[in-house]
Amino acid sequence: MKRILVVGNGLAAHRLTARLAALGHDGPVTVLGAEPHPAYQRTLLGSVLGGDVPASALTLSAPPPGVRVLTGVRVVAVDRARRVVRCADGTRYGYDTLVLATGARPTGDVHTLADAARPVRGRVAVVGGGVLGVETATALRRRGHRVVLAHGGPYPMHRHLDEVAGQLVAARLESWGIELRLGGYVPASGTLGADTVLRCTGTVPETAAAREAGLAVRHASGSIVVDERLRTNDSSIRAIGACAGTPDLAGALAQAETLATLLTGGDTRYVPLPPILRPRVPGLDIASLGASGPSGAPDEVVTFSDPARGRYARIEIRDERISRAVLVGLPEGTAAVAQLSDTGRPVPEDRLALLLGGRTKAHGDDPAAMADETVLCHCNNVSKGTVVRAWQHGARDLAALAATTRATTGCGGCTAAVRAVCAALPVPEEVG
Amino acid sequence: MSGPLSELLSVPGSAPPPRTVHTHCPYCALQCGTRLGHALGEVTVTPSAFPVNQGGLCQKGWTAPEVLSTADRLREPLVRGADGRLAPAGWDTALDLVAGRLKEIRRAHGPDAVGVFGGGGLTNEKAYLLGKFARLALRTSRIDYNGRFCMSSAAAASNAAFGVDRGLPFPVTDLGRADVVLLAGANPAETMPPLMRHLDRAALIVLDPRRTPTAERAAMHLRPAPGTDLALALGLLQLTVLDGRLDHAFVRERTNGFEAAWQRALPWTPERTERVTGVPVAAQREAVRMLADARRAYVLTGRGAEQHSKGADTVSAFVNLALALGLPGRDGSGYGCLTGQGNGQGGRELGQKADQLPGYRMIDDPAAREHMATVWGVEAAALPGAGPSAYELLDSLGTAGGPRALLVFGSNPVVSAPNAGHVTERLAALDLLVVADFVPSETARMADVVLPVAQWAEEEGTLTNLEGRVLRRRALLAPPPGVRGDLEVLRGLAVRLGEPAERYPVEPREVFEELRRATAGGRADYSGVSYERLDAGEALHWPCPAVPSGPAHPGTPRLFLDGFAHPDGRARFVPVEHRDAAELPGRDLPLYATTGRVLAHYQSGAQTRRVAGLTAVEPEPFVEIHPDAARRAGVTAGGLARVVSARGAVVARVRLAESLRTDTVFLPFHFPGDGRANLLTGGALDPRSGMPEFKVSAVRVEPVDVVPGGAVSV
Amino acid sequence: MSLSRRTLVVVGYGPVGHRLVAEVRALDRTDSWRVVVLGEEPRGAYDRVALSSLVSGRTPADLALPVPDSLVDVRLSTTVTGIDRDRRTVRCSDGTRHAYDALVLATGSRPFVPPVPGRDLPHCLTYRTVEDIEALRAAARPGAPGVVVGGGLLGLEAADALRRLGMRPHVVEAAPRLMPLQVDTGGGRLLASLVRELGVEVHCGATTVSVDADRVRLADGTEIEAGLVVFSAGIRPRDELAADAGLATGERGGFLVDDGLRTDDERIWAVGECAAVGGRCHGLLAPGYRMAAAVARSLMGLAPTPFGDTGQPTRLKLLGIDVTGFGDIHARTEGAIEFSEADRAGGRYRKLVLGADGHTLLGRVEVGTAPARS
Repeated sequence: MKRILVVGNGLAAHRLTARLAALGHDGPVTVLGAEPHPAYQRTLLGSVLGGDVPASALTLSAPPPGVRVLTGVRVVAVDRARRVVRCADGTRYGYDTLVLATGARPTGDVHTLADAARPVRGRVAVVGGGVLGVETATALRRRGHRVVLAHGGPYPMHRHLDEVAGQLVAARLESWGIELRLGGYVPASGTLGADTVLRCTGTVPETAAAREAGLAVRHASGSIVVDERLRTNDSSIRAIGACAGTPDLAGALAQAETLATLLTGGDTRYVPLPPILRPRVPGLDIASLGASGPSGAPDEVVTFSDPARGRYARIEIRDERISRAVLVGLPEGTAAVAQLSDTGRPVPEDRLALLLGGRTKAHGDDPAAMADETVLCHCNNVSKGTVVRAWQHGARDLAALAATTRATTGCGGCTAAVRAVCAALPVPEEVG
Repeated sequence: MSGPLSELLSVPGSAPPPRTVHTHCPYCALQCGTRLGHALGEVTVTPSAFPVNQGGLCQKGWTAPEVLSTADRLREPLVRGADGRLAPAGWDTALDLVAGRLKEIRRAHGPDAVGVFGGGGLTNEKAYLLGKFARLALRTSRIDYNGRFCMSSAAAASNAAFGVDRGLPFPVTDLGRADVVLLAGANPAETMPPLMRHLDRAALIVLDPRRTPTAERAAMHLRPAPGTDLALALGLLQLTVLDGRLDHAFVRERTNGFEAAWQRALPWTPERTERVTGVPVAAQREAVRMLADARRAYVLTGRGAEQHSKGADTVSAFVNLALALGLPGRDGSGYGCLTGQGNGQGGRELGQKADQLPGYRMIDDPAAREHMATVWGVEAAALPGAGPSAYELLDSLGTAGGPRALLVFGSNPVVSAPNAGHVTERLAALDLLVVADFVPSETARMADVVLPVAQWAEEEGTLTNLEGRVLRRRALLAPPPGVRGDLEVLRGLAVRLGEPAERYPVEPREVFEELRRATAGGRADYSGVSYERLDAGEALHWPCPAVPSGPAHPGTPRLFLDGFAHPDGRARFVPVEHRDAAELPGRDLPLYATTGRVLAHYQSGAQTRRVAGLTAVEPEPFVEIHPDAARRAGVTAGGLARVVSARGAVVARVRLAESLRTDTVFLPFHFPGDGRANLLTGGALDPRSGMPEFKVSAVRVEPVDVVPGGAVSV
Repeated sequence: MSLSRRTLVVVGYGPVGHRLVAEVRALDRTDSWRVVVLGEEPRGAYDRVALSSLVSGRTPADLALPVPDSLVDVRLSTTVTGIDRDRRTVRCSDGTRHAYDALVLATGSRPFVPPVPGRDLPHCLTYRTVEDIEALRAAARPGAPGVVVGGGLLGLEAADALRRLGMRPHVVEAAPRLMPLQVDTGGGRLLASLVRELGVEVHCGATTVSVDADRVRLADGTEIEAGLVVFSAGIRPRDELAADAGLATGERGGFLVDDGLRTDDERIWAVGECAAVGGRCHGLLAPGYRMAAAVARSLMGLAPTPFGDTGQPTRLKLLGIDVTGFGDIHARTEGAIEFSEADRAGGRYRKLVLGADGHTLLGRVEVGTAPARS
């Protein structure tokens, strides 16, 4: 009976235990969560802040039968030799397989359910204009607060957007009444004259215990190094989610599902999807796909610039596939580009249509100019010529035309076109 | 004198021939009202002012009489001889042969060695009697029908949510007052054009990977990737809550189970939904806003959302959305499913379904069994139990544990079943295949015995349309001599199998009277409906229970206004999760193939391919493909392409469609031979409904070399 | 009875002057016009566009345009020095006078040489006439560097000529990009990289401050060693005759003419580079030819076809590179949308400028070596 011990009770852990149960895992599963709440949908915290939903709405479903979840239990050390973890309250738990799903620790204020549910008063200063800061500032602004967003970069999300995109975002935020303080040093303390200060300065992977236990971590970020089977350098210990360097929801869930398959005897690998940053800002579509920072020269660069309507896109293509993209204000293009990026499909030739979501249909051929063979009524396959001939033979109103030709008797959608065709016809002289 | 009139006059003892009759079109579930008449020796059809079609009719309906006199119409029984060819035979010979073989097979292998396959085009009377025949004369549990490929997902979801399944729980005309209608996987502009007259006023939100003619008329067109409708519905549910549009009062007072369903929707943030489905966040948001802000709104599903291995769950997700918005059970709003087949509704509640008894009763329910046993005059214990669903049944034909004989009434599975190549092999492996049809369909041509039966204009009976209304089918003419009614055929067989003749009335009216008693007290209660009331012009939607005294029950045009059909009167949210389609595109098969219908043809095309005007519009199989995908596949517009899946290959004419997703191709399923779209589809089934995954297959497209002279080298 | 013929005097015998004569002769079935052409150069009209081909072996005779028929009196090496509008005569440098019933000015342009110290040194050349090319060929030293001042169409042609003469050309352009009038920033970027691939050094945003015997100095301090300098920094219309004759000129020079190419003197037209149509000069031949055709019709009394700038795309091919540009290439129209595709692998750049409706094409730029997409 393999004992699976999961450290962390976030989204990844929740998905892991659900999938283990669905795949018929029958060994004991224990989950140790540091936060005092049951697992909740962290990615919706912004909606709590924005007042759209109460905190209670974020609670994920109860764990499957047989899964023991202990909340308010923080793991402080891992004894790899004995395969035991030790918690802050002194308790110990043994494992055959340890799964680290400890997520990320905020460097700022807004990260947990408790944070989001805390009342915010008066003028709010949001410090940090990365994704979280932009989401937080706009959520609070939607709730009617006076908000100032302070960010060290020259424009919001400057690590992920280019200058054109960043300026469009800045302009939109300002148009919503958010005061921007950009560039320059933002003091770690200090209130910027606000009643509430929320630091949204990002997160770092929560991996202290892992590091101390001698597990390999990445130098720059501190996230735990895992292979495509989600194994750390200790074969009994796996890691998933933000603590393993996969902070985005889709990736974390995919890792959880992959691990569940592996732990129940299946054979699969975790294949990471290209990263997509997609801040939730209702009314403003922002997306950054692919790695930020320098990369090899692309084969092609496609740009779309419509400053009057706040729309912009810069797409890099390599080997006919999306390698990087930044989009602002282009909802259809964003969705389409993301799908191309995820599936690795080649970019279609009509890039403009891709960005705008297809070309709009040319509005209304002039009925008078239509060729005779043009089908007017598809429901009954009636051509313009047939309608014209019926008219010429005396069918002068819709009812008569319908009776003779059957046009307009189906869905009725051709009624306007039939009328227009007839209106353009001369009424022949009555032969005496 | 020759022609139909003379045939009628030659029937001894018959009433004077009617000049015109009011009846309904033989094709789809809209059942447009039509008037049949005679002119110059031909049967004429004109649409009537029936409220559903309001004088409208599509080209299939207008040309339907041509099938009555099609050149290869079946006019006498055919029996396959020792030389392997079908040859004419007399009725007694044919029926004796069938009965004899059935008895042998049953004696040697048991009653389940004989299967029955019915159709959603059969009248209520025929469907009812077929089910009775299977259970009493054959004692087999192996009966199901092609409607499993149509309605089963929506049926399962509706039953779970509302306690009852009636496609549209409101009259079609109610749609005409709607402000917003969401169509998930439905294309009525092509599949039931006169319905569009009722959708003129509403702003339409169309969910379809293709830009269909229906999508062209939409205020919003959302194009989810094939197989992701469930994720989209979950995302829309989450947005309903996030954007403050949940109808709290409705959820609290009229439903159960919201919490569990909501928790399943939690991971489906708008952004994640966008990523998986390809539908932009802004569009999702706008769709929810439109539905929520409308005073009257409907959510309707069609095959596009339902014909998946997760079809029932997908419909459940859309029903959940409708419940969250407070739509069902209100006058002027609701959830509905657009039934496809002519008697898709009646056909699924009168006992030709594997798990069912008449009145939408369940065959494993002891009370239901007792009731039917009483009606039929048999022991309950003698009734068989539930059997496998349609595809499972077909899959098992000619195998060790499966049926060795199959009787097919009103269906053409060689073309319409998924994994058609495999199903054809299974049919070929039977010891006995008997097909009752009026034209030599592809399945009939494989049969050992073919029994010619009457067409719609030659019979009386009832059908139940998509709004649960019982309609009268009326005969203009008698069938050609040599052609019999299905009821007569069933009696002929039953008697030879030792059944008392009285159990199998041949008069539709008589069968209907029995059907009334059979359905009494069931969920689909026809007991208060009668030919007299229908002939008097009453609009009777079931349930329409018989009333012992006082005025007759008026029928129930609108369900759920006072309560849903669960014991506590509440609707139920059904918690569902998104999952992938059974197969996804990969390197070798990089495209999605989806199948569907076109306006000019109906279902397997057995009827419509025999109408010149319709084949002129759509003469051949085609594959719709985006120009980019075509270029990469090396195929050109107007040329031929081979479309290949893990199961088979189709040869089809290439049509470019810029509006298609670049990763998706579309094929209509109306064509035979190597043009059968179902050669591509697979047998992955929905565990809740038995629905196969018609809408998602992984394929590749490649060019076909054509040798000069037209021969295609494969 | 003899026909009274009218006299048409054409001043200038470049390709546009030549085309005017040809168009008039073609229309004039009854020979109602006697034509006198006064050309400054010592040779007959030649195809200036193909000037660079003189570098690779063609001779001036190969470039010569067809000689007109005997009813055309061509006077070469004849400079017109003044117009007497009252007497309707022109005066020439050799003292002769010619009376006219109609006068068409087709004096073309002169190369613009920026006022840079050293521009008169013997190794500084221009790039406009056959004589210029002959001087270039004489001065070229294979393997040695040469500087072309001016990175427009003409400058790139001159650089190509140097390249074909075996030299190592440098192009110095004051604007931030090559061909600044025809292409946008992105197109210019690709153009520069394609040009560099051909072995031409490109210096953009660079102003020449002085020329010495062996080097050229730029404003940012860069020095390019070169013993040969070609100035192709633009052209200025030859409108010297205007002042004395009292004819109006455009703001940037050129004889001011209306849509019908007529000056405010009803007997005097101007065509080609010297014509400021509505105040605007055109530096390419194609518009010049259209002007010639329009004036020919007017002279024959036919319904005039107003010279409208139809916004025909400029389509050029130099050094094997296609360059197309027309319309609002800088998206200056309010609410305009820009859509560009830079295919580095394929060496192609395309930009569309669309109207606010996302459909109407307001401008287009294409640079590249691959066949054009639709």
